[in-house]
Amino acid sequence: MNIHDLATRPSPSQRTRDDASPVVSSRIRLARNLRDHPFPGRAGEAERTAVWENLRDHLLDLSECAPALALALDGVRDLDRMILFERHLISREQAEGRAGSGLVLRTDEQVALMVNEEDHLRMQALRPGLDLAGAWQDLDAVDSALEARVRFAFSARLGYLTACPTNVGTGMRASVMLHLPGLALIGEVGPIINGLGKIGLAVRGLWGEGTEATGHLYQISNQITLGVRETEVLDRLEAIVREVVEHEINARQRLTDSQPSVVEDRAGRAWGILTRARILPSQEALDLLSALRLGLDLGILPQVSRKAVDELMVLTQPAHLQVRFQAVLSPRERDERRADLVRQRLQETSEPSPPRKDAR
Amino acid sequence: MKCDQCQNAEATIHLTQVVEQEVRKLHLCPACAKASGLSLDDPVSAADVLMAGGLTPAAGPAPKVAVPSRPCPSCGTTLAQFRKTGRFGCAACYDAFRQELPRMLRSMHRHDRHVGKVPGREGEFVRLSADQDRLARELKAAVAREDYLEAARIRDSLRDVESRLTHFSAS
Repeated sequence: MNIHDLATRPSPSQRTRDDASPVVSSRIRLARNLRDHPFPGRAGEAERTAVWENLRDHLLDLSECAPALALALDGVRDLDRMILFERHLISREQAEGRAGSGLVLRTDEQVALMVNEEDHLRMQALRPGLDLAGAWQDLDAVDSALEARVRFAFSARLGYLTACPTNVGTGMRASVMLHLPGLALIGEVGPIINGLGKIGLAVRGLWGEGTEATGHLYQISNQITLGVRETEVLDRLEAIVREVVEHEINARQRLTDSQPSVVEDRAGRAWGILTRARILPSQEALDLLSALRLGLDLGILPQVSRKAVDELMVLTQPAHLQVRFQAVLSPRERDERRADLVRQRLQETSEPSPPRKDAR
Repeated sequence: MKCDQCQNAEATIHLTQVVEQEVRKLHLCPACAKASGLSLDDPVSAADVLMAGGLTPAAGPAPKVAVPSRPCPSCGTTLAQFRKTGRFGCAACYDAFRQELPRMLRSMHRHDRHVGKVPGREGEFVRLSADQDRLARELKAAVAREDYLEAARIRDSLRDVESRLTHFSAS
């Protein structure tokens, strides 16, 4: 497997199951540091490289994350790092490709281990749908297997020691990505975000901290890492996510009951533009795909494949397009290729019948 | 007004902090302000507010001001650097800046003690280290009260723990 393969295949962790659930994916990350090395922010290049090589060799040896691919990020081209970033496999910080920063990626893309990010290790497990328990099982096993080989910075009182004290303790951040167009359309996302903030959860956009919720995609995650057990955090997050999902489903029901023409109009327009446009900027594409997805979930446009819509959300991102077409493209060229890809995919995967005007 | 810290020079820097609904004022002379890692060219950052509690202002009649922490002996990170970046430089910083921690951790996590996963091997090391400290204290106490029989018994246990620790570091 190489990075070009990634650019053309759908992201397994962002692939939603073919049901109408607003949950896109689940993710857990664990922050760990080695006891006897300064944290990456304080380490010189030689030390960072030594830590990367040491951890890489151990990680490649673990059956828990085999088969895996190891990438020294300073030796990878910019575009390929962007592919990894667009697939949520590395962070923005890692995408800069500093010397000594690396990634060990299980080839199923469900376990991604970043070395020399803010901490020596940022281990992530990613799963489609709501599956925090599955993600935890995977990650806990990798963590325990690695712990038998290296000495982590750990204190009995404070737990796993991290560069930033906001992560100390479990070092665990769990997040669930949700598609919430119903709540957004009836204007209830704001109050929910505020409410979740009060109970120690954070709500962010698609790309994490400080980003807009493009395409009505939101991530809900825990903030507290000290004084609470991992499984408690996960259970609580899952319970809250289920509540938000229920609100979203209610919101969609209210929308279809009270303003069916608005919902159908949005989906129909999205379909019209996506299947006819010749120039499609990424933001617009994501917003329209989001509208189309809501339409599918509500049974409007039954001829469209939901799987194709979800895949397009990933594959139409700028770096993915450029690697797919093996060319560095200007923004205009990208918008043209994106429009071509979307048109082609939607036509290929959809029934020939036109959108049903009277559908529910 | 005299400086809260040295009680000597004229205070020219006046800080007001609101921490957990409590307004606290701190008056410092330029030298003490600088020594505390506070610079006028470098205004208080959001991290300072979040991690408030480093500069302990006067509370009650006897002003009790924390002595500015020394840099971390292991990596050289200073408190001022930590305040600016919000990042520690190494694991030993948690010990070097332990005075800063409780208030900061409670404001971030509402707790100050880990209850989650304990790594098997590291957990064993932590337990042995704690045993070593405890036995060393007990040995000292036994010697002090001239209970040599007990001291010999403790010394044997201590040797056992220390050899297991050595074995641990070697592995």
